[in-house]
Amino acid sequence: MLAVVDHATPLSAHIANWLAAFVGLEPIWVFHAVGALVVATGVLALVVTPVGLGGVYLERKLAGRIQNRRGPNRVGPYGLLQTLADGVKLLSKEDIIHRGADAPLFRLAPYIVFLSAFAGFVVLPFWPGGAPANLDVGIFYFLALIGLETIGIVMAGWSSNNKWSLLGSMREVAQVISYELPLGIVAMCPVIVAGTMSLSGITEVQAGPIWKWFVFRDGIWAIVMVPAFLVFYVSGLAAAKRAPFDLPEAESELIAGFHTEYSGMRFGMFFLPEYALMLSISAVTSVLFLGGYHDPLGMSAEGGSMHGVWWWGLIWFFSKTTILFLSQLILRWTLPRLRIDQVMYLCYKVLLPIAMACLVATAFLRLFFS
Amino acid sequence: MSNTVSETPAAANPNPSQIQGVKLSGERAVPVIPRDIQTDELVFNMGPQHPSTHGVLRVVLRTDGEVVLEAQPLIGNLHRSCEKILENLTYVQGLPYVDRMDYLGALNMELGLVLSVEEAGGVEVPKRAQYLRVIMCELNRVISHLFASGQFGLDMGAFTPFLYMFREREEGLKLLNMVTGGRLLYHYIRYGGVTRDITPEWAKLCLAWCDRVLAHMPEYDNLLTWNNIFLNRSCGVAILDASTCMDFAVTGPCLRAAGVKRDLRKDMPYSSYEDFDFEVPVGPFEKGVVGDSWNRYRQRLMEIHESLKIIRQAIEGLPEGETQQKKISRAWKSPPGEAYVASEAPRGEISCYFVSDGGKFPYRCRMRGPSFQNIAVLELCSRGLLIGDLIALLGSIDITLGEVDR
Amino acid sequence: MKSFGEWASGIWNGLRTTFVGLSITIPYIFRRPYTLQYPEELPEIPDTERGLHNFKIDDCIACSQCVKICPVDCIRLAAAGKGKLARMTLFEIDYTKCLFCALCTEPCPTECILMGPTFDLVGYTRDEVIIDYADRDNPRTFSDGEEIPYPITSFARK
Repeated sequence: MLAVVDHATPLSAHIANWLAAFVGLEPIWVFHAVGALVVATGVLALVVTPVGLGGVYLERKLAGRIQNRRGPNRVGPYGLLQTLADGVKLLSKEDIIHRGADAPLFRLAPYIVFLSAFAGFVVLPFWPGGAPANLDVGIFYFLALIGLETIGIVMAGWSSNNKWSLLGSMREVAQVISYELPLGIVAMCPVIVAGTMSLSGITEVQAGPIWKWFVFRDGIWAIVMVPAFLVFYVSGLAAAKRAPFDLPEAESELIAGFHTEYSGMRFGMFFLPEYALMLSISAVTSVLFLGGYHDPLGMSAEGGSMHGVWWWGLIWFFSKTTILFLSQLILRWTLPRLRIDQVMYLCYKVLLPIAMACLVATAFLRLFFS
Repeated sequence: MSNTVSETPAAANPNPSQIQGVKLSGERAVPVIPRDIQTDELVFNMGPQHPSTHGVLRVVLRTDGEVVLEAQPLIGNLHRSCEKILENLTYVQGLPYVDRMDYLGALNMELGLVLSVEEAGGVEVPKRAQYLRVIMCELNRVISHLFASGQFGLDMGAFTPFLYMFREREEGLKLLNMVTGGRLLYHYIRYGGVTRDITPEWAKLCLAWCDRVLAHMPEYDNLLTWNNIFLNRSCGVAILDASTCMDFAVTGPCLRAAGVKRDLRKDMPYSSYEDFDFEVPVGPFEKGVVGDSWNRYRQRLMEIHESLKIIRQAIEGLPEGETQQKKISRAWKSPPGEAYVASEAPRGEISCYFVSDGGKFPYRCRMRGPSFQNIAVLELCSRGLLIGDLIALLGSIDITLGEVDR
Repeated sequence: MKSFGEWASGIWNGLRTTFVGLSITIPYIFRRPYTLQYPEELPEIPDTERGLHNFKIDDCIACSQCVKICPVDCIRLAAAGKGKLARMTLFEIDYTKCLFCALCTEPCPTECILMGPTFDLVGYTRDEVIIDYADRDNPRTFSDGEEIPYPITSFARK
């Protein structure tokens, strides 16, 4: 994050100097702190909210069209402002913390969920060299954030003092923690091939045309990478609590699960991260298996005509992410929901063995074919 | 399951949804959790505002985590004392009230009352009116089954097939609206006939609608019926076998899905049902165990086919004549007597024990409703199920709370 | 214990039926919606619709037949004079109670009370849905010679 601050405007430097004089610290520290705050606020206002709102709009519109309806079409052209209007509604609604709730935990929970869902965007390489933070352990960081989110949800379920919420949060923990195993194992397949855990590094290894992407890499890798991709996609669905794995929310069983007792913007703080998590998981899937910001013809690869043009990479990154995101939406409106024991069955008896087989096969292929 | 020990017929079939370690013991099939994983029990209050209780049913659940140990349905939130109201209104005034009992199969409810009163009063119904009753009741049955099947899918988390079925249901409601004047509450069947005749144009529209429903059937089947997740969720889940059904007087699609060929339209024909050629589909169907949730769902879809057959035959063979017995005026009252006539409503057997003392008002109208009887199995059948399966059980029994509470 | 074949066929069936489902839902994205845009587009209402009542005020002879037959006693009626000379002072229908059963239209000797096609009646208070048809400004009250602007099929039985 701090690397971005280097390009800060002189105005911010000016403000930092003034603040440094005010609090009596070295200007550079205050400069960094303020810069980080400015960037965080800017990212929140300019990236996160539109991403969440756009996701909600897409979901509702698509659900409408699939179900032979129109979807939102009243507020703004094609109903584009509908989710914004809903956001305003959520903000203006009464914030209820009922008497039985454990108030500090109840207040804290949405922030943890919000934070962990949106912090995942930090490591994504949007274009060549365009990762806000190019962590060496990018993929681990991302998986850890998915685990972190469950803590917020357990907090919400427990502090709500509602048995349905508790049941929802228990399902969430059981599900997300379980699905982290196939998710983590199968994410190691691209890591083995690329030799790095950095998401930017993994993308760079896939430079070139479509047969250099990890799913199809040189033909031979497809044997392991296609099942690995499917396992990652399904586990990602489960980790993002999307149908058919939406058991923590399961509106026909648990009404709303862990956020039953939340109202107003506190509910919104659970609602937006769901879409953010879906998007970031789609993005990570596209980075790990579909070549990230590389286009199918290899124009953005080293020596290609569009090499280093940042918007060209961004377009491809977002189109791949969006296609995966849309597929998640369409699946939700097609499939019924699994039962909790079937969710566990799918994880431990189907996905985990396949993931392990993929890992072993990748290691062998790496040994003989790289 | 190897460690299932039980004398109850309900648990005699292998039930995959019952978790390993849950033992069924004795008559009431109480699950026994092994000592080393004994945990606290949770008491849940499911409803009356719960979306999957199909109205205002309240179920008190005692669970061990996700496993239901006991589910007790508490009814009466929608009680309107329908039977008492019928005793305090004249014959003609009482009819629109009966619609409000089972609002999803209102015409069949009307028929249930009217048949008994006509039997007691010795009222002859013109043949054409009988055929019209059959057409409308079957139309209503198809609409009700479409709703029930879609609702069952919705309980399973599949939203889209529900709305596809609603689309065809909507067209059917329009057809009923054209004849009866109401979309949900018809007030169409009267003592000695029906209020209104159908036109040839309407008959054409109705036949086209039958084709439309049939044309959309593969869509529901491919999207929901044969979906692997749906099959896994509902096959072998919440088995209601024939003897349990008999014990609890369960009727309708639930009974037929359990393999009992009992359909009053065939067994005790009323209102000219003997004129029509149709099958009574019974379980087991292609997948699952006889009497499980999936078979109950499939039963309804199969019955839609048969009902559409009846509608076609009735429209094509509609005899000429009156639609209403002229002798019945609005001040009509039944001569002293009593009657009990049962008929087949979408949810099961609807019948009315009707007593008249020759007065202005009926002396007694005791309605026997299918939903009220069918919901009684919930307590026995839900033991050892997961909460998700309990929802499947409720959805596949298909109750209307208006008729349970009356 | 499941055999490997069962295990594999379970995975295969899951994938296959998912794609079968998708082959149904995805084409719907490009199809025309079925729904109506309600306030702008009204659904087709048949002549037989039992909606809000229409009242031919000059035909009414204040015979109270409709009041007597109403199962929920939602009609209140008062008139000055009798028979053909009756001048209605009150003809109030309480739509909080009304069943829309159309029983009131059946015994009417002059066919002055009819069911109409209007199905939406909303108000902020309960008083707003208690409608006085003796008020000639009421859009569903018709004087002599006034045409009812929509087709209505009579429910009256003679």
